[in-house]
Amino acid sequence: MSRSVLLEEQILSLLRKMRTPIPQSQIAKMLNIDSRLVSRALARLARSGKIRRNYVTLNGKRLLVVYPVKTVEEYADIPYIPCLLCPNLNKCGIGQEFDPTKCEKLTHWLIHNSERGS
Amino acid sequence: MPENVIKLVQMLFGETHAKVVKVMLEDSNRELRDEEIARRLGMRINDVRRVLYQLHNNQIVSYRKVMDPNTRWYTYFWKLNVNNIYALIRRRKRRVLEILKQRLEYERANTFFKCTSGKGCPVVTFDVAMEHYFRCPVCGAPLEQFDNSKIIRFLEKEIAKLEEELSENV
Repeated sequence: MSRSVLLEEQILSLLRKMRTPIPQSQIAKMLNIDSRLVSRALARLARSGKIRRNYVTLNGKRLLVVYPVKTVEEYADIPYIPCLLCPNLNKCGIGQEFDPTKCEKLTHWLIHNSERGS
Repeated sequence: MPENVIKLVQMLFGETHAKVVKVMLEDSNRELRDEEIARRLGMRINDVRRVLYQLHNNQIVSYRKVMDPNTRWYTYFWKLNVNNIYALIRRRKRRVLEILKQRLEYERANTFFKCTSGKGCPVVTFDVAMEHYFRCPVCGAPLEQFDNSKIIRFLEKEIAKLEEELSENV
């Protein structure tokens, strides 16, 4: 793995760990790496769609903040609750056409996973 | 990015919707007519329109209609709004959160009974159990109390997880 790819991985893992947007200037300080290398790596990451960068004004200063874009793998965990992909989600509610207290799929998921989780 | 979008549409709506979105992504810099999408996919125009209307209901595509001055018929030009897919997932997660909270309340408020036959009959509430003299309404076997504390704990954990995900601004 080349040095630039390693640096990109390092930046991505830092951003995912932090969870909140970070000013671009802070990243180089946090990783203790030359800021020029960091800004080039960030430009590559932004081009590939792995991060997003936006300008914000803080105390009159214009800052470039960076935050990671969720990957499909992170979004791919969405079927973990059956309701997320259920076509009747918007018609579901207590006393409605589809009832979460009577839903077989939800009950099965709850019983199966609560047993496994214990 | 385009692969992510196609995969998400496939998961949320199905294969046909993903095919339509794929064609629209290939020409994402211009608006497409429904006839053109149907021709490129070899699908019936009615099916393409049905898919487009469903995607429009979820704000994933938008349209502009232009009236032909001679025939007075409308032509629809469709455009894909990629970023709205992520917003849709957030909206669905918010709705799921409400549903899980309703279920948690129900689990906390009721006492449950399960069938002792082990045939996989559904778990019933105290009221239903009493109506059937504590016999299974499906197979007639005796009922015993079902401890739902694990389900309550599991639901609380999932609700906390979803709330945390939704509070993130990334």
